[in-house]
Parts: sequence; structure tokens; C-alpha cells
Amino acid sequence: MKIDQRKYLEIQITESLDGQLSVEEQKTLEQQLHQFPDLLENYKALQTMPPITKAFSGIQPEPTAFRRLQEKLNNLQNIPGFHDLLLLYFKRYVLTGVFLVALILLSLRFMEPSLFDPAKPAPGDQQNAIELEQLDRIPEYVLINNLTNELQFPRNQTGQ
Amino acid sequence: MMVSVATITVPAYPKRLQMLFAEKNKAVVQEGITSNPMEELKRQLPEFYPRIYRAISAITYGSGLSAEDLTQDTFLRAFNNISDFNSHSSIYTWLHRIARNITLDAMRRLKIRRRIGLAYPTADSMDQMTDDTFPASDDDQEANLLLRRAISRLPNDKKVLIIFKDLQELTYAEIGEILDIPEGTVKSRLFKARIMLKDELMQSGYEHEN
Repeated sequence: MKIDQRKYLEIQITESLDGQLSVEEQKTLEQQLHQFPDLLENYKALQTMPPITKAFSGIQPEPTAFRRLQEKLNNLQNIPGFHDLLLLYFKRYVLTGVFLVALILLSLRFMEPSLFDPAKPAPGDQQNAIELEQLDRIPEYVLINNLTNELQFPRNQTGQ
Repeated sequence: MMVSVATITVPAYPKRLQMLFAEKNKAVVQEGITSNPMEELKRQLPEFYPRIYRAISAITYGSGLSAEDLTQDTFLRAFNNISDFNSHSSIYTWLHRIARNITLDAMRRLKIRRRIGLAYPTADSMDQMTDDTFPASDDDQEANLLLRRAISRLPNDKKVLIIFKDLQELTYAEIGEILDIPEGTVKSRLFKARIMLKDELMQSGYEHEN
């Protein structure tokens, strides 16, 4: 209870020093402060404190400093945020990039159809097939091929 | 010894980007319910700048930090983060919050640098240097010097409270908003800070009238 009253009086002292109490309230405060001699002593001492405004009067910033700040602020206003940058550069660069990627993919499709259509043989595969067909027409190749097969898989072993 | 805090270099951007950014700002003005905080801040800049500079000068007094640099950082951060500004509070209060954060961060960094030997404070030269920025406007030069030095010796949280209330004349509610504490706590802490300041003044040989 006494702690609460003490805290209340501290607040009242602050308000009194800041001129926020009426004459009656100040009188009541002084009466109440007699219960707390230390607070009363502090209250009286604080009333005679020199004003701080006087101690720090005459402080003025340099005129050039204010001008420098305004220059910095003018420049600052021209700095766009990430959102602005994204909006500005999206159309220009991202769309160009998408177009280029699409162009590259299309050109690849015409060059290598098998990359996109697995059912369709690649030009290389077709060429190999043609070459094999042509080799089968050469009698020497057929003979050598048959002999090789015979050596690897003789008829008596295979049962044929 | 003055310590430069930050140097910001701003690159040049193409005209198209500048136009885009201008259009974006214009859109914000049209969407704004009452007014655009950016425009509001720009409009009140000449009024706010000396006040914020004064607060930062008082907080950093005797530390060796450049109040000018910190003030510029405060406004640059405010303009950079204007989208974070909550329209329920005032720009002036919001600027004080930024100034406080920037200044206390700089002081913390400086303290660490001094601890590890990267910065060397010289108390006498610092006092002379910072006192030059406070012209002797009255006969109480000695008393004012003692008061400034007493404030500089206070812990940062108490220093900020006293400066915001007694120098910047912010309300309890505004200080509470800046520090994220209730009004009652502001008053209670302010009382303790003032007591501490009084004790510091007494220790430094200041004698009040009574």
C-alpha cells in the first residue's frame, strides 16, 4: 500500500514540476509528502533545478548540412524498390528470354525430330539401317558373316 | 574527436525508373486518406530538422559522435521507411523514435569500439569541442556547462527521457509511444531520472539558489 502511495506521489511530483497540477492539487501533494520526508526533500530540490532548455539553447545545425540532406533525399526518391525494378525489367528481359528459349526449342525440333517424337527414327538411325541393307547384298560380306556365325555357334552344338 | 557514422552514396538511375518512382508516389498521394506522409515529412522538414538535431546533440553531448551525421541518418531512414509510418501517430513523434534508435545504436557501437581499442576518447578535448557548438548566450555559462555534463553522465535511457520531456517538450503520451511504455511509467521513470540528474549536478559542485 505504502509502495503504491509512494509511486503515486512520484508521479504527482513529476506532474507538479511540469505544471500539470492545479494550486489545490499542489497543496494536497505537499501535505501528503510530509509522510515521506525524502520525497519532500527531492521535490524541493527539483523545483530549483536549472532549466535544460537554457543549457542547450542556441544549437543550430549548419546550413550546408540541411542542403546536403535535401540533395540526398532528392537522390533517394529516385531509387526504385525491387517491385519497381521487377515491373520495369520483366517485359523487356523476361519476355525476350522466353521468346529466345522458344525459338531454340523449335529449331532443335526441326533439326532432331527424334528428340520430340520417339516413334520416328532419327536421321542417323535410318542411315545405319540403309547401310546394313546394302552390306547384305554383297556376297563376300554374307560369306564372311556366315563363317563368323559358324565359328561362334557351330551347328553340332546348336543342334541344327 | 568527431566520429563519422555513415556515408551514403546514392547511385544514379535511368530516367525511366525515376519517372516510374514519381508515378508511384503520385499514386500514394491519391490513395492517402488525409495526406501523404512523404509529402508531410517533406513539407515539415525545415521545421523538424533543427529540433531533431537539437535532441541528438543533447543526447550525444560529450560522446564524440557527430550529431549532424546522426540527424541526416535519422531523416534518411525516415524517408526510406515512410511506408512503415503509422498514421495514428505524428511524424514528429515517429522521427524522435528513429532518432533515439539511431543515436543509442551509434553510442553503443562507439562504446564497443572504445572497449576493443578502435576508438580513443579524450575527455578534455571532447568537452571543448562539443562546448563550441553551444554558444554562451547568457551569464549562466558555468551552470549550463555543469548541467550539460551532468546530463551526459546519465544512463542513456534516463538521458533520453529528460531530453525528450524537458528539452523537446514532448507530452507523456508521446514519450510513452516512442518508448513503448505506459504514461504512468513515463512519469515514474522521469521522476527517477530527474533525481539522478539532481544528484549528478550536486556531485559536480552545482549549488542551487535555495
